[in-house]
Amino acid sequence: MSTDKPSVAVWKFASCDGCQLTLLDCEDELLEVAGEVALAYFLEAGLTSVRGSYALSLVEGSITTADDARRIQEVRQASRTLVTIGACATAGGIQALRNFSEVDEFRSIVYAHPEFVETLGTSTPISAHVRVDLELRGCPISKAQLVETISAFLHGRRPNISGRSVCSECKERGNVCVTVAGGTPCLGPITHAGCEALCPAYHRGCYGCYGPADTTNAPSLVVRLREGGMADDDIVRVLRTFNAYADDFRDASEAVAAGKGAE
Amino acid sequence: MTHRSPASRTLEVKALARVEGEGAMFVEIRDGAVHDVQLRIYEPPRFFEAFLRGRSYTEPPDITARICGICPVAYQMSAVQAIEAACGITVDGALRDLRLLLYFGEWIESHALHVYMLHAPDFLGYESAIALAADHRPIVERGLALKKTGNDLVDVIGGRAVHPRQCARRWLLPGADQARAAAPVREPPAGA
Ligand code: SF4
Ligand code: SF4
Repeated sequence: MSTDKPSVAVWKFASCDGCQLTLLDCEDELLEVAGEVALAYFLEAGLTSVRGSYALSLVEGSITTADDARRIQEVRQASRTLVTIGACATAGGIQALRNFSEVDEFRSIVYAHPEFVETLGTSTPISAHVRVDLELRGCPISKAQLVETISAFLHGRRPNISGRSVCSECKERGNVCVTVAGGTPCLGPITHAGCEALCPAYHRGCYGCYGPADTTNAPSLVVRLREGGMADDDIVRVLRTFNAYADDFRDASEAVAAGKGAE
Repeated sequence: MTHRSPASRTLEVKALARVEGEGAMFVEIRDGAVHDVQLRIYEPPRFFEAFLRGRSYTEPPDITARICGICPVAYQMSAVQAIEAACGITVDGALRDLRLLLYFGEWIESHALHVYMLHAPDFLGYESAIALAADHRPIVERGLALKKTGNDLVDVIGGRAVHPRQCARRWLLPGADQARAAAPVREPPAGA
């Protein structure tokens, strides 16, 4: 492989592989992208040979073991640009639900021999460990945002990724608001755009898989959800899924769990 | 990989490639017989079984999908069927057909990935599908087209290729409302 092309690596930590699969799912763009970069390390695709440094590292998954906390330092040192891909890497993922519980109890009910299972008490985003140059949201990430990120990287410009909410994508798509028209609870007002308002387009409320938008007013949405008839423990659960440990969602769920803001 | 003599050697694969999940393998052969095999799964645990407790019956399909991004439909369907079994609901007709179609989409996508992108390069002596494409581009393009067909099917029926979203309440749990009427279960939260 020629060495003048920028080398790209894909790394996995605690995750489901869905975000890195999104790269292989770019069937129409994959061979073209592969022509522009030297895909150097991508274990799932069988690429393990090149060692050294990487112009761009795409990092999937959260940090949940002591080994991984060390490995992410090595990845950072070897990477000129480091981009996290998805809710696990950006916010800790669904596995960050342990952060609200006791991991020893989790371990003892899931595994017959918990003594063989190494884990930290928390699942934390990559940014809690090393400097991150860009974070892509979503569980999973959007193909369009991934392709935009890679092409911006190749052209040395900033990727054009908006931090607005799912609500604005609903308007663009011409969706009727599921909350206003149908009374369906929806996290769209506080959730980061990127999915093109997928769930409301199918008459489902958003469950926040893209994590918090750049500016949110979660306490106000909580008031609206309560007015719509949701019980507090339901509100806590809906805020605690794939982005449970993202600051805005975590603060909101902790406030509701503590009974704050209730009548 | 380390070789000592043909009859006695050790094989060590530190990272198994081309699989979802992470593992290492160690095989020791002594005098022509396998003496020791160790498979080490160092994929970090994520504890789905633990955090599914206390969730509403509408939530598991979306949560279990995240066990694996390559076969999310398998996990969604397992959760849906477990909940339906618990509620005594059977699903047939067009709904069952749609579920099968969704599943077929996943199979096509996942098998095309497996055959063309992960295994073919091994059998043909290439490092990866991308290296294979340099010499046999039409074949890799055919694999990508097949894979895309599977993804398109999941996309059309489920809303997106990875972690399809239209599976839980809209039409995969049609009996959920009867079940709620019959048994005192918790109300579904937002997004259900
Ligand atoms: S963010 Fe979601 S899709 Fe991406 S790796 Fe994590 S669980 Fe999988
Ligand atoms: S509407 Fe919300 S839950 Fe649905 S895909 Fe978009 S961000 Fe995720």
